[in-house]
Amino acid sequence: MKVFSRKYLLALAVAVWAMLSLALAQDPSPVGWVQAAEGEVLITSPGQTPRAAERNMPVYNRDEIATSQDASVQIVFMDDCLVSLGENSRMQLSHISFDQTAPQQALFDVDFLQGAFGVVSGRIAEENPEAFQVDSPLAFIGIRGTEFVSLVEAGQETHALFTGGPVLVTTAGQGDSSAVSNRERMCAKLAQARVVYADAHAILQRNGDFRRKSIVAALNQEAEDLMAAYGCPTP
Amino acid sequence: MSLSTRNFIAGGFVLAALIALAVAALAESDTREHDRENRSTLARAEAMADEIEALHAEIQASTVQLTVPGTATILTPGSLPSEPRELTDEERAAMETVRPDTSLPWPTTE
Repeated sequence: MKVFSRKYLLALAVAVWAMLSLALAQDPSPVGWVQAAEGEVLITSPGQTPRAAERNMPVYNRDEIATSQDASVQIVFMDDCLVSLGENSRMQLSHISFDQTAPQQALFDVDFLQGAFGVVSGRIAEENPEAFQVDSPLAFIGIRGTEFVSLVEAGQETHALFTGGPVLVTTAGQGDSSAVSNRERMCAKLAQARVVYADAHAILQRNGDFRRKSIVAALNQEAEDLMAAYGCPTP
Repeated sequence: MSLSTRNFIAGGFVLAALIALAVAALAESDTREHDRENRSTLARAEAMADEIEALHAEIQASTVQLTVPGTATILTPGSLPSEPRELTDEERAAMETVRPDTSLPWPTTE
């Protein structure tokens, strides 16, 4: 009886832990709301049944939003960014976070998978432009406070600036949406460089070679400047 | 001074000179070793800087900046973004339909 109780308690604890993990993983805070929807617009959260979009409906990180023929939807995000989808379009909300008290830690990362998209950027692009990243199968798009429109079709994409600017469009690869972004590549390389430069600095300091140490210090400064320019996270 | 004493002193000088030479050779060897280490350390750092510069150049080459409203860039698989060009009337009309409407009322989030 005693052994059974222990097993029962253990199973209960595991079940509670699993439920808590699931609840935390779902991140229940909305990152935006439907401002207008016409026609058949479906919002799908991972592992859940698609729900038909209607005005004021919240959207969450990792949701996929899809429109059918003759349908459209406009979403307003927590930083006041507006994104509209035309017919036969699909978009995924990869990660959006915005805390008004810490705008430098904000992130806006969405994937345009297919169709037509219009964007009027919000406070994230205004206050921390490097944190605003839109990905499409062929491009990474960075904007600095502006309105732009993208047409994403199989085999061709058109990205246009409408007002404000600038918009930076960078090739992603061969249409592979899972390609590592140039920013990530550069940040990884710069992180590696920091280690190399720190080692070099220590060796040259130990050997008293101040001339070469100053050269390494200059290289390190260049790397620091690039880290800032690419918006790399500080280790 | 006896011959053996002179020999002893001379031997001492020779020994001291040999020790001094050995120490100098060791110091020289250390310096050379350090210099080799310093040179290879700097070479590693400079090689890393070259890799960074090459990656930066590659990213710059694959990036197009749109600065003039009404311009667009086209991407096709495996090619660099096209140089910015003005939207055609047809493209502009297609894109107008998807521009966000900034006059819509704000959602009620309560």
